[in-house]
Amino acid sequence: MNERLREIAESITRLDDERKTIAEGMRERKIDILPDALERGMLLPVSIKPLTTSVAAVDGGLLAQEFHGFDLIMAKAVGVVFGYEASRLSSHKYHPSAIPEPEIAATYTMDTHEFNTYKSLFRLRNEIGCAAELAEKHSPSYLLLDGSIVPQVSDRPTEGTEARKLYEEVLALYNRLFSSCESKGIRLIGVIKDSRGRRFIEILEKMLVEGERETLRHSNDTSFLNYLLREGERTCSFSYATSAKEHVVLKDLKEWGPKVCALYTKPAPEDRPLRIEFLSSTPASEAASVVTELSKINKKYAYPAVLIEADLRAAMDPLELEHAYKDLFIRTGLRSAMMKLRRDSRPFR
Amino acid sequence: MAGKTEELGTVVSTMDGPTTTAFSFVLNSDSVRKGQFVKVETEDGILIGSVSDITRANRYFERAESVAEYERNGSRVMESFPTTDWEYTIANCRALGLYSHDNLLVRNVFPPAPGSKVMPVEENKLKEFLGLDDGGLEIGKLAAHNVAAKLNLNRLLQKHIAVLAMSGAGKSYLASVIIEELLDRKKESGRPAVIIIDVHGEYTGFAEGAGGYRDRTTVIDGKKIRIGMPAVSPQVLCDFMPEISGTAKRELISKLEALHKERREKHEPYGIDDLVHAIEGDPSIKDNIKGPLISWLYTLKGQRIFGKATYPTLKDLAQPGRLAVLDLSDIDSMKKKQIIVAYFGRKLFRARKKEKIPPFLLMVEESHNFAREKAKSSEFFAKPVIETIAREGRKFGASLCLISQRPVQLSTTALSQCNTHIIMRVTNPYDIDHIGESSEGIDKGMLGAITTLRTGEAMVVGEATNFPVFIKVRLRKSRRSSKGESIESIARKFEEMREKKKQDVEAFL
Repeated sequence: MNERLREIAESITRLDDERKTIAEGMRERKIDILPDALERGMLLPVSIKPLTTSVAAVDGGLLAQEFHGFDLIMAKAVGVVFGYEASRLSSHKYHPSAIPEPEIAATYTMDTHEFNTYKSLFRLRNEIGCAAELAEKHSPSYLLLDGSIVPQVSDRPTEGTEARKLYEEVLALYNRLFSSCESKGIRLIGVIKDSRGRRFIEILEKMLVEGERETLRHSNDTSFLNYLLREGERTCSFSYATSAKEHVVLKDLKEWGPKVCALYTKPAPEDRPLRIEFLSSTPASEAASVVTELSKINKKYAYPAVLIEADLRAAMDPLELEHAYKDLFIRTGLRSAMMKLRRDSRPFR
Repeated sequence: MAGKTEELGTVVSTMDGPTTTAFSFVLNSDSVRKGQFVKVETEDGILIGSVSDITRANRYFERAESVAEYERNGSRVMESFPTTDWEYTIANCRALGLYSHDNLLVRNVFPPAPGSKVMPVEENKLKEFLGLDDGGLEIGKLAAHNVAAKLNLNRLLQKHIAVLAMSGAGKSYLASVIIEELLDRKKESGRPAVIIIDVHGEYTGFAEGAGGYRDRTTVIDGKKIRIGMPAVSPQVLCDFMPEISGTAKRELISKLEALHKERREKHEPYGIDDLVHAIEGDPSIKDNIKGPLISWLYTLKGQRIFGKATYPTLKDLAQPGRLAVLDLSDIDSMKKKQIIVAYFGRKLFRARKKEKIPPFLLMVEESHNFAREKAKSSEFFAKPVIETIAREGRKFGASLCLISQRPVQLSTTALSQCNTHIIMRVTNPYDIDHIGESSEGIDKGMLGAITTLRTGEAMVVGEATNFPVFIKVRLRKSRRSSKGESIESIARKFEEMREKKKQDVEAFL
């Protein structure tokens, strides 16, 4: 194993060094136009200025466990609205409350794969529903989501399943959220802290020679952009997918699919770039500016404070699920359906 | 302080409780303080507890590294996050006792339910619960409560008191407050006599200044204290000369008895010189006995303590509602101080047994110097006397108050008989351990709190109260002794005096 670890370490180091070299080379080339880019310039400065506005954020928490005769899911979503005066927090409120009650559900016939999709959609329904309500009730200037503003491909269940019905519900909520934000002039921005996307690299690859392409094939956007971007810079914005009509999820979002854009920004010198997603009605420079201004308060952890607060509020303690299970147990009594899976009830660990 | 109807918090379920002996509650009032008594309604009745510690928590400040990082960037965490919303405070409580539905105070045998409301204890209930007495000695106020700490005289004195604290924590101040309370008692309430062994002259202030306690105080200058030889029994004299041999002791007893008989017939007093002459003039005593005996007697004479008559008399020392201060501050010899304490302690106790004097409280400052644990009785003459009063005094109305800054050095026999301990700040770990071992009802948390007590704060544990309580000693009414002046004042006076002397010399020349 030692030899294998040495090889892995060498590979990591070599790839990282190559990324750095390619990035430095690309910076010198001062590329102005990229294919599929929505604006001119590969790298652009982010203009930041003190914020006096309201910024909301929504995050969700999820707990789920499979049992012998059923599966239990608990989720909750919290919206936070921060008021800023010259970038200083001046007020805050929560939607629906600071400590909302979780939604609980049980499923009975799903296989593990479908259950995984279902629980992810269950969480999304809570989050996007909460975001839509918050937008309608509080009308913040900016509404940040923890993660993408569109469902992930892995969230899309096959036709005819129970999860599919939930997916349709989630799509409807996305539509409601987009419509509310557009009609109220709310800038909807998704902030992805650990993006594994490769869309920007795919755009860049067309500008590279074969050897460089090989290196970038083993990279994702942020692992490469960490060397390409300097603090206070962003990439040009680009469309979420080459063709929204062909993208499995974007096409489900109907007219909103083609409007989804993304870019990367680097708010802090010692942290990696953040991916942000937004609708095309939001100027890329404004989206980057707000997220950078809100994230630059910690040079090692670039993430908007309002999303950190939402994350803390939405976090769920595994004990909550345990308590719910015990409550069910009291009501049902000892029966085989209530038994924990063998993997969750090993006798010695 | 907590209002009467204010809800203080809610009992929470933790990894450790609630149990029958402890529970925690999350505060919804900022009026809760350590040491405060609270009540919770349970299935069995009203549970009374005391707050042993309070913890504040905030998730935003749990990780020092993150806090430091945000602060380093010039934007304070509190300016970026709603940190105050995340703060919560938990009070940990000791469950002390339970008032059953029949209003009987019983041991708690069932924990309070999580979610139960925690309320303040009403003043009258608190007094009843702690065993405070409206007619008792008011030594201060209960910490975290606006309730006078009035200790029942009988419970406090009958089984003796120990005041334990490090130097400067307020022992003498507290002792003065206790004395004031005893002197202020009305005749019909019962007034014991108070005698204090004052080794630093800290209590002479009771006799200073107009008004106050001057008319009820007698200060006895240690240099003027004498033990009349006619009143000294041969055995007592031998006790003060532990080095002498058995033969010499026999000769001494024989001579002293003869001298005593002879002078009594003639109605003449006698002193230690007369005893020395009698021994010197007796040819029947062998020289190898006589020489050392004379030598020891001269050593004893050198203490300038033995005379022809005793001063002070029992009347000077023990009068109802009066204070006698034996001011030993000008006596350097430890042996002489030992002799004084041993002689007058024994005399007071015997007189009390015969009911010749009123019940008394003998307060012994620096008591570890008079009743040291690891010392031979032959070297510490006062130790057996103090231990005797500690053991037997209760039956005869002879009470002790041992005041010490080194409890670990104090006789365990004497200390264990002191059923009320008033403990002020102590930081020496050996002393803290010793207090923990010798004071019943003190748990680890309380022991830890002893090191953090401020001057004038004390913990009362034992017979005087039903449960350990923290108190803030009240302000004294008596004058502080001029010997208790600050270093600044003494230094200023010294220089003024020296300048005056210099001016006088210059004027004279």
